[in-house]
Amino acid sequence: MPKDRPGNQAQRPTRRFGFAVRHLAVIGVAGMVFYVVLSTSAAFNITGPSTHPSKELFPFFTWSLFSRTTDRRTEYHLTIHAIDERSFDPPVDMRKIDVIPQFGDSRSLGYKALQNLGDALDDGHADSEVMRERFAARFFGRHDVDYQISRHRYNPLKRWREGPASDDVTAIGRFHYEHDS
Amino acid sequence: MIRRLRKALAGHPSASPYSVEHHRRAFNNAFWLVRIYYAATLLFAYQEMGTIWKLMQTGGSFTPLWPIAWANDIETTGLVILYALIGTALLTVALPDRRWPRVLVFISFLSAAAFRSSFGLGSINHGNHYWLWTGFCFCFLPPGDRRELGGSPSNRYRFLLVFSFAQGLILLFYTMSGFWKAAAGVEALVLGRIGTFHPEALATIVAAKMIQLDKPTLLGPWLTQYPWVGWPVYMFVVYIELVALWIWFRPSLHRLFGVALACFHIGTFLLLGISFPKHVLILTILMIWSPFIPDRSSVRDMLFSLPGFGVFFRRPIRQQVSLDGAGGSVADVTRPGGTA
Repeated sequence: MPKDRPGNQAQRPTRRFGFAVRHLAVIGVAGMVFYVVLSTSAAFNITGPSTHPSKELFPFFTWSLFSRTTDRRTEYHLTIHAIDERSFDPPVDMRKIDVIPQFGDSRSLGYKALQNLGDALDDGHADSEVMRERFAARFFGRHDVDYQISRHRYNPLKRWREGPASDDVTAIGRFHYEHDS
Repeated sequence: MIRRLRKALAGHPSASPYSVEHHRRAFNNAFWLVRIYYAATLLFAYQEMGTIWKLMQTGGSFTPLWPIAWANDIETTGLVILYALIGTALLTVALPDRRWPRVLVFISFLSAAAFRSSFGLGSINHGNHYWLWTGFCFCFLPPGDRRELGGSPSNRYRFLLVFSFAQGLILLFYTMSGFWKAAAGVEALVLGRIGTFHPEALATIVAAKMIQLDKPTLLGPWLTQYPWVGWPVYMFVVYIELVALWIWFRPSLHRLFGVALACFHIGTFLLLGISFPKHVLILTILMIWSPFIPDRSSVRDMLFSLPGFGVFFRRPIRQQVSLDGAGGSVADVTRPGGTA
């Protein structure tokens, strides 16, 4: 039997640090189970009002990323008709506007926020107007913006190969944002 | 019962008895890997300062997440987090043997991640989650320098156990990701729709992402031309994600799966334009350089340990294990008295 085993520690007195081994093992396993239960509960909205709009309870996440594949994708687009004194005809997609610095940062988050807003507006969600005001304040900042949100339905592969001509487009609404001076 | 379950998950019975030398070496490796983690934390904290500063300048609607529920305005909150983050990260590398700086840097990183996602209006940034949760696990590491901890088998065991749980948690995230992909795929099969298991699934996902980005990715346009190429690649991704937690119990596969999962993240950049630098680094620290990898591990050992497919290699490997004594499991290293 090797001398270095816990049972032989009388030979070499050492300090014991931190949690007991059994406690550590229990904390570890219980923590992992807790993570799965909590993140899944949040995804199914069981955690109630504490759940984030993206169905998460930060920093717990289901890690459901790119899980659903569909050949009939729904996506919301925001087109700008006018910024301050400048008009666009035809209107320009939000992602193409580089003159507004707010559009440049966290592009992916901006996209997700727009999809959440589009869903809320489309479903007539009670908080949709508040969400729209917050969205505009975040992304339009100190500009006055005339914009439209529309729903596009398409097959992603076909759309990438052939362009947006075959999109099934429905206008959700046209809005105006004036910043607080 | 737990021991029997662990042995079943570990696959073949371990042929290597408890070795003090192996235990010490594993502890030394884990000890330095934790140091590397905190050195990188300082680097990320430094980089994060720029992000926080940019958010403070950009402003906009601010809805603080719960870790920063105390926040009143963007500028004060941003400044407090910015100084706390870099200060605690410096403290952790200056006092690497203490526990309290690790707890403080975890709280600071949690606050910084919450601050970043408080502008998302329904979106949470997951780029820091792996780093954050690893830091949470490392808060449970026993304090003390290498000589103090290394001198006692039970302290070495505690250290390795916590390190092992950090590995387990990260692998759990991959398994959860794989589970949802597989579950959605089964649902699509039942409903007769395009889903995870469809030959054009990956190409469809890549096309949708390129449309979202409004620009092509490095390999995306090529894949949309030859969608069938993506099928074996995607099936491989679903497999390695789904069985990732299983690999926790099979140390001979830690390096192989660490590399495979890192390749998966490299692939997400090439195809989807999404980069996960912190994920690749955490895989390197926890899995590719795993302290639990057996001293000797042949390709046949690894093939035998492959979840689901190992059964095809069972007989020859059993013979080889009994002859050369290679193998082992996490428990052999983390449990001082652990034997087969």
